[in-house]
Order: sequence, then structure tokens, then C-alpha cells
Amino acid sequence: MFLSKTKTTAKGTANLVTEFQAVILAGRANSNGGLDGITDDGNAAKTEHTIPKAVLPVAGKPMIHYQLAWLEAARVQDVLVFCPAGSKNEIQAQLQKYAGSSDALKIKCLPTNAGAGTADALRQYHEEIKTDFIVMSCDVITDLPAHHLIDLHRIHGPAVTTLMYDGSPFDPASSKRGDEYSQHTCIDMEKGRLVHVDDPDTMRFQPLMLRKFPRVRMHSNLRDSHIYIFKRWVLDLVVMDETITSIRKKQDGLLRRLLRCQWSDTSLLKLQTDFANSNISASPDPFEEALLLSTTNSRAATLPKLEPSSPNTGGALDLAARESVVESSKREALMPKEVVCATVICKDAFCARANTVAAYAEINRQRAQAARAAQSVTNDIKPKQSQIGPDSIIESDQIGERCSVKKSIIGKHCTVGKNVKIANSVVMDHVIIEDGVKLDRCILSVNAKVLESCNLKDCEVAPNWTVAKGTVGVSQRLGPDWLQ
Amino acid sequence: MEQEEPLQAVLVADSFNERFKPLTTDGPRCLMPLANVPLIEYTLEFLALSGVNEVIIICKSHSDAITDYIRKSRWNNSKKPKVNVVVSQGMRSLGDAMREMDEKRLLKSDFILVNGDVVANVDLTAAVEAHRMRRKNADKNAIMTMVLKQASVEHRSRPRAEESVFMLNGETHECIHWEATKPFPIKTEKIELDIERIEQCSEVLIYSDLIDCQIDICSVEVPPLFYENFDWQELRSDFLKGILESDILGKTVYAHLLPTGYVTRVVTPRMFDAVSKDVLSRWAYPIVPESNMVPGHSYKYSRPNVYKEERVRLAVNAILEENVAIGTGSIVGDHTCIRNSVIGRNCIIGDKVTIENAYIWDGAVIENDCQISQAIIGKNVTLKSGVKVEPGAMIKGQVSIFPNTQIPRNAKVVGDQGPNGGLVFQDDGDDDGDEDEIQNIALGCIGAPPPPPGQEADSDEDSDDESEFDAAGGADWKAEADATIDRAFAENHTFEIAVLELNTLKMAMDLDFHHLRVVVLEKLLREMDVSTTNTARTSVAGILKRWHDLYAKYLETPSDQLDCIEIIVDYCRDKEILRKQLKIVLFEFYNADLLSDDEILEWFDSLEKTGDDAIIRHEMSSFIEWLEKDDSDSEEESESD
Repeated sequence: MFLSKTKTTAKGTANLVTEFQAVILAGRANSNGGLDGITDDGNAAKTEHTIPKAVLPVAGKPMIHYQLAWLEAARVQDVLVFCPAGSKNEIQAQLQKYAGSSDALKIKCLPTNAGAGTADALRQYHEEIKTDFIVMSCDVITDLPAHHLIDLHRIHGPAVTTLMYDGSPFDPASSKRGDEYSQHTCIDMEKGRLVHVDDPDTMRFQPLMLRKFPRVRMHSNLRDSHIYIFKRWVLDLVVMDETITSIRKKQDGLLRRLLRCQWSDTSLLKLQTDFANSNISASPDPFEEALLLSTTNSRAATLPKLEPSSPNTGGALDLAARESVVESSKREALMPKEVVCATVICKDAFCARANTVAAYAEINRQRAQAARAAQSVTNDIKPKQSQIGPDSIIESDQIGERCSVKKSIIGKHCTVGKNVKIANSVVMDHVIIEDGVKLDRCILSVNAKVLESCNLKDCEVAPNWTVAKGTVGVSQRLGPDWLQ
Repeated sequence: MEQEEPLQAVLVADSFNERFKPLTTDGPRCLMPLANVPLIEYTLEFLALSGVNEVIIICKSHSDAITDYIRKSRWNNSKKPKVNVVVSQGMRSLGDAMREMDEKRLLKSDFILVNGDVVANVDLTAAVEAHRMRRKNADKNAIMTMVLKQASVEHRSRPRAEESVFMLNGETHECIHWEATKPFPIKTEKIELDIERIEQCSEVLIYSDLIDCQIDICSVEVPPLFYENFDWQELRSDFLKGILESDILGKTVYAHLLPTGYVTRVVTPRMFDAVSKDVLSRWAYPIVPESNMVPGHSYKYSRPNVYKEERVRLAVNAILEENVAIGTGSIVGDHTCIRNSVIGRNCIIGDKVTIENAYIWDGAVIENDCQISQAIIGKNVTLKSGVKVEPGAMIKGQVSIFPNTQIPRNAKVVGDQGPNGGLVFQDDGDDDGDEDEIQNIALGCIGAPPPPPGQEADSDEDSDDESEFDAAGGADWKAEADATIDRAFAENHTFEIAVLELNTLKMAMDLDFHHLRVVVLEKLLREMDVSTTNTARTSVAGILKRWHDLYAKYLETPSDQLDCIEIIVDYCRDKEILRKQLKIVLFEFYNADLLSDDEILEWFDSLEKTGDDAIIRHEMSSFIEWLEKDDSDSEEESESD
């Protein structure tokens, strides 16, 4: 029984029972496509997506490597990557690249149906998940040590543990109201339980909720990092209730349902009846199973006493009865008695989601600084008379003369002409920038080409797109028509 | 220096309600003996402790008794605080009291506003200081600081049915929202917050466990505000809400939270019971009987929480179990058992009497074999032998109860006419008929059961996944809404009234516009005269003409219109007579400019080519053709422009 769950690492030491499996959701950020301008995820015309969000570079590394590194640091071994079928190849390539550098992770790439919600994807592959599981989005980048979450999960065993971060530094400074990712987060003051999550434009409370949680702190600057640790039974719930399509969506969201069960007796009762009526069996915990079969177990001892007059059949009956009790108590053990939703607020660590272009750019800048700070010796390419800011990462050597690069990242195999000024920008791989171009706060996706004397500010350039000579652009999405 | 201004306090010695009737028929509530000390003594002591220089007592009922009491008490001629009594016979609410204060111009600077039934052992100096600093440095519009006590939800000194939710700014503790949460009605509405006001702060603290004793530090602007807004009566539901919701006043209210200490108000008999016990069991220390706040008292403490004054005569076999206070001159007979109770001065208690959780005021005579539990017995009451008093009862002073009478639960006894006449009960006066309010008041009786846990405000609003609830609540709103629209049509309401009613319903039932569209459209289809095509057309046109604004209101955007078509089609789908008229209906909507051709065409394109849809498709084809033609005509027109 244990052998099926063990795994031998490269070092040859037998490992423990897998505690967590991890799921990385590498799909396109729902339908709104915050990063469509620089990926080709939104291009419905193509079936093959070569530049999905998960592989966009952040400070020189594909985004998905950050999650893998985080999971590896958390000693998770089993990672499932859910990706849209169209971008499977590209993501698989990046996964292999990561696996090449480290062999601690067992990564499996699974294609999901187009348009399926996050919970739908979990339902599709629920057989792959056997333990408590971590779900994270491919656009969350954090250096918060995972034990902050995992410890909470281990000690209190909440149905879900979430991670929240302060989104205000990544907000477009213009609007206080924030974008669609901002929310009101209500956290219980005493025990730190996550109580309620609501849209920024409505704020309604159930009096009953307030009675259950009399002291609540409501934050409007916190955002959901999309890192969750779920109990295994939550997956059963997802499998049972097909109306749950997504983890986080306002309606039919899994998280909402769980939050509601914390204070609403009717919701909890419904959840429990769902479990009671379901035919889900097989408790994943072998210890629990063994305990139930034990003859000294008090629960099993409450068996109906058999008539002593039938000694011959007694043994067989006893076993059958015992097994039926085991079955029902197994189901009982599966049934959640109370739902607890916990949350960790990320403090003194980096945490952000690259779900909008602005956030993507900001994360790039901040990660680049951090990466540079970590590197003590700089072996940068220093072209003649070029000014390269200390907070930039440049991985190409084709940089022309009299260029200035500040707070920017330039990817691999790029060609930059003379007299180019790049500030606060992200330039991905294989980009060609011709002479005299000025870029400020721009993102140039893979294979983009910016011809002579362009002056772009706050622009996004789509993959493989060529910006015509002398273009002056402010706050534009430059790319094919389907982006507009 | 401003700081040198003497601190004033206004003590409102009237409760403006009759929760303690008939006990308060003979004397004011603030002179009721709580653990044998008049209630007002606790409040005055608390104010003195907080460094108040001048206390203004404003009273109405039994004002003579209060004036008299103060004149004879230690507060007469005391320097700190100086106590003045102001009598205002006309006041009917706290608002009136503040207006009176404004007229008399007795207040010179910031003052503490309290009720005459506060029992507290905290020092408000820090809160007053915080209030003054805030006005000086941070926010000069801060007109009030509410002093609120944090306590657990199950705390016994929490007045039930008087609870509320406070929402405070996380950094400044400015109060952003206040909402009363009463246990009845059980099904309460959701609490909705004004987003505009939350937006300014990144953190909002939501407290629903605060004990609000209505102790407020007010600035001098407060009484004039009451004067200007002459309809404000209550401190919270009128004044606080008024300030918070007003855009014009521009004033702010802050909260000062007390994590420790004892603060509560004796607002109901249940609270009287709870506070008495807290005092006896020393939760409110240093407010305990043996501190002998009132001159002439001589309580001594002995374990387990038994307090006896001098000259108390106990029979040999009398048992004082625990938490008992007995005033001087009282006599307790043989085999009598007293626990968790307070006995006043000069009471005579006979043999084999059981008294538990009861409060027996001065001069009462309890004869042999009486049983009293969870009751308040007024001054000089005589219970003849064998009387049994059930929980929650209150007996007015001077009443004499005949032998072996049983006093029922929660009875308010004002007299006893003997075996033939029976007990005379307090007339509850004018019941305003609000059942919820009566139930809320009933929670204040001694020994009242805890309030029910409450139900979800509305289960089917934000959780469409719970379709069960939808179905259950579904019929309910539909019937209600149909009745509303029927009424509007039958009584020929104006458009505004109809919309107002529907919107009220929407709020009350947590519906959205889709539901309202269903209601108004189905109404139209029901009203339609389907006998011939012609009558159908005229009847629909008639309704649309009369109620054009109403329908237009719900069909503003293209998606509204699509929804509208879906509703109409769904309603007609199974009813053949109606379905035949479908194109007439849509035509009339189009004619009345309620539906645009784009939306009709879009809907038509979305129809499937099989099943029901095919029939509808077929029936609609002529209309759609006409529409397409019309459409292209108009396009050509516009192109030629």
C-alpha cells in the first residue's frame, strides 16, 4: 500500500508518502485575457499557441519556472500542469528545460479542454490527484517560503488555505478602484480565517455571517494570489457537484461555496448531504482504514451484537457487518464536519500575479532588481559607449553603440541598433530593435520587430509583429486585428 | 488653555421606555436598587472616576424623586463632580434632551453623554483625551467619540436585542457604518455598505460583538445639530445614521474601543439580573457590595460571595448558598435557602422559603413556604405563605399577594384582589402591534431563552448554484411581484409609483432586473386579448402605450432586450394561442421603439433549426423578412446620407 505512493529520488533514498500533489494551471487567464497583447493565447484563429502565458519570460526565466522552483523548495514532488491543448507543446518544452536542471520534481503535463473552467479541469483529472493538493496559477510569482501556508494546512487542516498579497504596488496608479482583480477580503480578526470575498463594487453582508464572525477585518488592497492548498475531500466535492465550474469565479465558484459553508448551516448541511448521497468511497488514508478495521476500535465496537446461537455463520456475518460499518464510517470520515478557510497574508516577501500587462511589467522590473542584487559578480556585455543601468538584465550581445538601457530586461538573441533608448521595458527573446528607437514602459513580445526611429510609450507589441518605421505610439496595443 | 475647560457630563435619567414597568411606577428607573445601591450611584461614581467636573442630570418622570435623592445624597454640594438636576417635562426622547441642553446653553465644551443606568468601572480619561487630540490635530469635524466595549458574543452582560454592527476605518477608527441587528425578525436583510465611503480606507474593521452603552464623548456642536434636525430622537438610529449618511453635514464620528473593563447598561430586567450577578460575583470589581459606595452601607464580604450588612438576623438553619447580598435589618427564617439573590433592607423572610436568582427590594415580607425564582419583588411587597413566583415575574411595590397564589411566568403584577378577584396585571398599554418588536422586548425578561440563531438573509441571491433555495424562494417573490404589477395595472398607478414599488420589491427580495422583466412582460402577455389577431394587436399596443416608460426602463441595453425576447418566447413557447401572436407582440415592441431590429435579428439567428425553435422560426419568418427589408432600407438611407 505504501509502495504505490513512494518514489525513489536520484539520491537513492526512499521517500515518504507524498503529502501534497501540486497542480499548476497554465491556461489563459479566463476570458478577459489580460496579457493577450503580448501572447498569442487570445488568437482564436490558431490552434497551436506558441507563446502561451506560462512561458512569458520574467526577468529572463519563463514564468512557469518560478512556480516549479517554489514547489521544489516546498518539497513537493508530484506536479501536474494543466494546459490548454493548443499550447501543450510549448509548455512541455519549458517543463523539460526545467526538469533538465533539477530532477526533484515529477512533472506531468495534461491538456485541458478549451473553455473549461479551473474546477472543470480538476474534475477531468481528479483520478490523478490522490492527496491534499496545491493549486496555483502559472502567473503567480512569490518568494514567500511555502511553509507559511503548508504549516497552517498541517496544523489546522482547513478545507482551503489561500495566500493573499497586497496588490497596491502593482496597481495602475491612475485608478484607486483597481482593476477586475481587486476585491474586498474579509478576514476574521481572531483566528485569521478567511470569511468573505466580494467584488469591489458591492459590499453586502449576511447578518448571520457577522454573528458567526463578530470581528472581521476587511481589506480592500489584498488580492488573491491564486495559490491554494485544498484538502482532498474538496476534490470529491468538485467531482460530485458539476455546477462548480471554477475555483474563484463569483458564481458557482468553489471558494465561495466553501466560504459560505463556514457560517451558513444550511450550506454546510447541503454539503454534507451531498457527501452522504454520493458513492464516493475509498478513504485515502490507510491509517484511518486500519483503525476502522481494528477490533478494539470503539466505533467498530458499536456493532449490533450477533446472536450467540448461530456460531457457524457468526464469523462470516460479523465480518460482513463489520465491513458495512467500515464502509459507512469511511464515508463519515470523508464527510467534512466543519469547513474552515484559512488565509495567509504575504508580508515581507515578494508576491504578485502577472495577470495584467502593467503587473507583468512591474514584476519584471522588480524581479530583475532582485536577480541583480543576488548576483554579486556581473559579467555583463558592455558595448561601447552604452549605458546599462544596474537594474537591468541583458542577455543578448547584439547591442549597438550609444544605447541606454534602464530598468529593463532584454531577452536572448535580440538585436538592438544604435542610439536606442530603452527604459522600464521588457524585451523578450528574438526581438529586433532598429536604430534610434525610443521605448518607455513597453513590452515587446517574442520575435517582434521595431523599425527605425519609432517612439513608443506604454505600448505592447504582439509576438511576430513589426512596428512600422517612425511609428509614434502612446498606450497602444500593436498587433494583428484580433487584438483590437 | 482649552485643556483646562472643566469636563462636563450629561446624564439622561430617563429611559423613554417602560421595560421595567410596573416596578418603575413608584420610582424612577435610575433609583432602582441594584445590589441594594440605587442605579444612578453607579453612573455617578463612574463619571467621577473619569474626572468629570460637572454632571448635569436631565430627567422627566419622577423628577422630584431624583432631585430629592440627589439633594440628600453625598453628591449634594460635592465639588468634583458638581451635580445639577435639570427637569424637562416635555422631553420624550434623548433627542429632546439634547435640544433642551441646547436651549439652556449649559454646555461649554466637550462633554460625556451617558444614560442613568450605566454600570462601569472604566476610566474615560484616555478616551476624552483621544477625542480632544483628534479634534485638535487630525479631524476638527470629529464631533463624537463613541466608547464601545469589546466582549464575547455570549457575554451575559450583553444586552440582547440591542446589538449592532459597527464598521470602522482600520487606521483611524472612524465609524463608517452602523447598523442595528435585532434578533427579530429572524430573516433579516443583508447589510449593504456604501462603497464610496469604504473606498477611502484600505482596511475596514467590522465589529458585531461590541457592547454599545451609548457612552459618547460629544463636542459642543452636538446639541445644536439635534436642534437643527428636530426629528432626530435616538442617539444611534437617528443621530449617528444621520451624521454618517449625510453629505452636507461633513461631520465625523469615531469609536474608542475598550478591550478590558466592565461597562454595561441596565436596560432590561434580564440585564438587571445579569449586572446584579456580575456585581455579586465580582466581575465588576471594584464595584462590589463591600466597597460600600453609598454612605451608611456596611456590607462585609465572606465566601462564597456572600455579603451581609450589620444587623442581619439569620436563623440557625438558614442557608445562604452563594452570591447573596442581604441588607441591614433583614431577618431570614429557618430552613430557608437563598442563592444568587439580593435581599434588601428590613426584609422579613419566613421559614422554608426558597429564593434563587431573585431580587427582593427593601421592606418586603416573604412568609413561610414561598418559592421565588428569577423574579423582582418590589419595595414593601408582602407575599403571604405558600406563594410561588415563576421566572420572569415582576411585582410592583406595596402589593400584597394572598396565600398560595401562583404568579405565572413573566407576569407583571400590580395588585391582588384575593381568591375571588385574582391577580391584577400591568396593562401593557398601547401595543403597536409590531410582533418582531414585542419578541425583541420579550428577550429582555429575566430567564428569557436565548434568541434563535437567525436565518440567512436570502439564500438565493449570490449563490445561484443552490438551485434548491431558488425553487423554494422562487414562488414567493413571483407571487408578490405579480400582485404588485396587477395592482399597478388595476389601480392605474403612475409610472413612477409602479417603478418605485417594483424596485422596493427588488431590494426586499434581492431580485435583479431580469426578474422584474419577467414580471412586467408576463403581465403584458396575460393581459393580451388573444381572441383574434386584431384584438391582440390593439391590446398589446394599448398596454405599451400606457406603460411605455415602464417597459422602456427595463429594456435599456441590447442585452436587456435580448433577455426580454427570451422571456416572451419562453412564456409563449408552450401555449399555442400565445405563440401564434408572438410576432404581433414583437412587432408592437419594435413599433414602440422598445426593441431594436438588431436584437430581434440576433435572437432570430440564434434560434435552432429543429424542435420548437423550428416552429417559431417558421412563424416568425414573415416578420423577420419584413424586418430585414426594413433594416436594409434604413441602412441604404443612412448610406446615402
